[in-house]
Amino acid sequence: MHDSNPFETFCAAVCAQVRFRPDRAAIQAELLDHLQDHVGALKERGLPVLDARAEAVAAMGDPVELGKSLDQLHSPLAGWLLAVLKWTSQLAAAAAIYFLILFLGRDLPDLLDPAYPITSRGVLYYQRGMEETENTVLLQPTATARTEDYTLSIPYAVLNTWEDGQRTLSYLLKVTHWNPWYRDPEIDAWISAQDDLGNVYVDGGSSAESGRLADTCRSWGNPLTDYPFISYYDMQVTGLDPGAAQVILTLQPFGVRECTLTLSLEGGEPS
Amino acid sequence: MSRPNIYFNRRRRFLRDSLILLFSLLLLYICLDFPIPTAGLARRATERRAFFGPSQVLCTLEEPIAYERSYAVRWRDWYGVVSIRRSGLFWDAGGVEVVENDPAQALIPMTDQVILRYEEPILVFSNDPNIVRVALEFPAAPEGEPPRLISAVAWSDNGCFVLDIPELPTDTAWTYSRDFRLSGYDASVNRIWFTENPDSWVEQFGVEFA
Repeated sequence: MHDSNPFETFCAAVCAQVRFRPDRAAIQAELLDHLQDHVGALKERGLPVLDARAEAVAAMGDPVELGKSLDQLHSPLAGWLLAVLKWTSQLAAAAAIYFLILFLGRDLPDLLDPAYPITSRGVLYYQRGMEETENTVLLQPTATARTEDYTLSIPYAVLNTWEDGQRTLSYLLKVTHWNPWYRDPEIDAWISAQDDLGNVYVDGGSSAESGRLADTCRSWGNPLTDYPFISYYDMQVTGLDPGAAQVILTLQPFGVRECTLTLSLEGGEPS
Repeated sequence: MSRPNIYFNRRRRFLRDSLILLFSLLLLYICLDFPIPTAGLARRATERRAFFGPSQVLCTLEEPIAYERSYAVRWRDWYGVVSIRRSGLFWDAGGVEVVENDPAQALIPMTDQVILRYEEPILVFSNDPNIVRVALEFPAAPEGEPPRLISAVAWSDNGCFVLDIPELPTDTAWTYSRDFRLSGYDASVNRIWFTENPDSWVEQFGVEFA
């Protein structure tokens, strides 16, 4: 006598052996696909439907044995771990999308329309509200200097000679760093300058060798802006000796010389 | 019977969900501006940014003013306070304040100028391992009242003294470390080191405190 619904009976017997219940529906669907494919093939060979069904079920073997082997493949531990992974990934994806929207809303306008292009030398004038004049000379960029965590370079430097003969060196200090946690280092407080005549310029207005006014002979600056891997500083050396042809900038925190950058004050081009 | 497709579905689901998780976490990390997962890493990052350290932590201050945590540290000839900020579940780098050690002085106050109205504790470092108790005194003059001596005491066995300033007159805004009178005591509470009464006590307050 034929079972009224041999597929359901077979699938129920197989699935009863699978301990991880959430997978039972998928296993049943897959088994039904197999069985129906097989029935289709048998019907094409002329077997009656009922016989074809019984034949297809019989070809699958012992449902209990099949169920046990499927249970091995669908262990509850791995199943629940997969479920947790799925929920976690969905939660993380939702959070990432939420913060991405916030991030774009907050930072995209600045990225699309910055107040002033930071890589332009004009930022040096912009910072001080001054204009380029015929007495402004654009200096050659320096080579890079490295510390353990940072690489320093000067993409733009300009030398201004004022009406009273005073000279001011303004430069954009670019600091690259591989670790975003190290952004915006306190470099601006530790850079001193020395010209080829022996004058030393430090922050806080220390004196120069030639006895010129201490408060006008300074090496100082401020952080300009920072990104995860690049920080920029607006730096200057004021009260430069008119006879100086070269300036050596030294990063020397806590008395330890980290690196130096040499900037020639000659050979620049008028801006 | 060959392996059913569902076995491969599991592998595919595992790979797919793992990739989604990794990508989402990476995106989150970038959108949250590269947060620092632990306080120790934040302290180290703060020191690296200041070209300071690696330092030895002497003591920890929880929730000081403007920061969520500060570490009193020592590095070479410097004492310092490394402060870090909370950033949600994570940490962010903060700032470093330093004072140069003077081995000739048994006690080194951390700052030159103390903003008292913030009720921030005053840190004092000891170069003498025998000092386990520190007393700090300075004068304060409330409006319309005679000046009085404010004092604070702290105990420590690691050379780092955190002095909370009690009962300040409301109009006392700040004081300088040059106005401090510092005393160091050993375990038997014998005063083994002290500073003289600062000249400013008489010059500024017109009173000779005992």
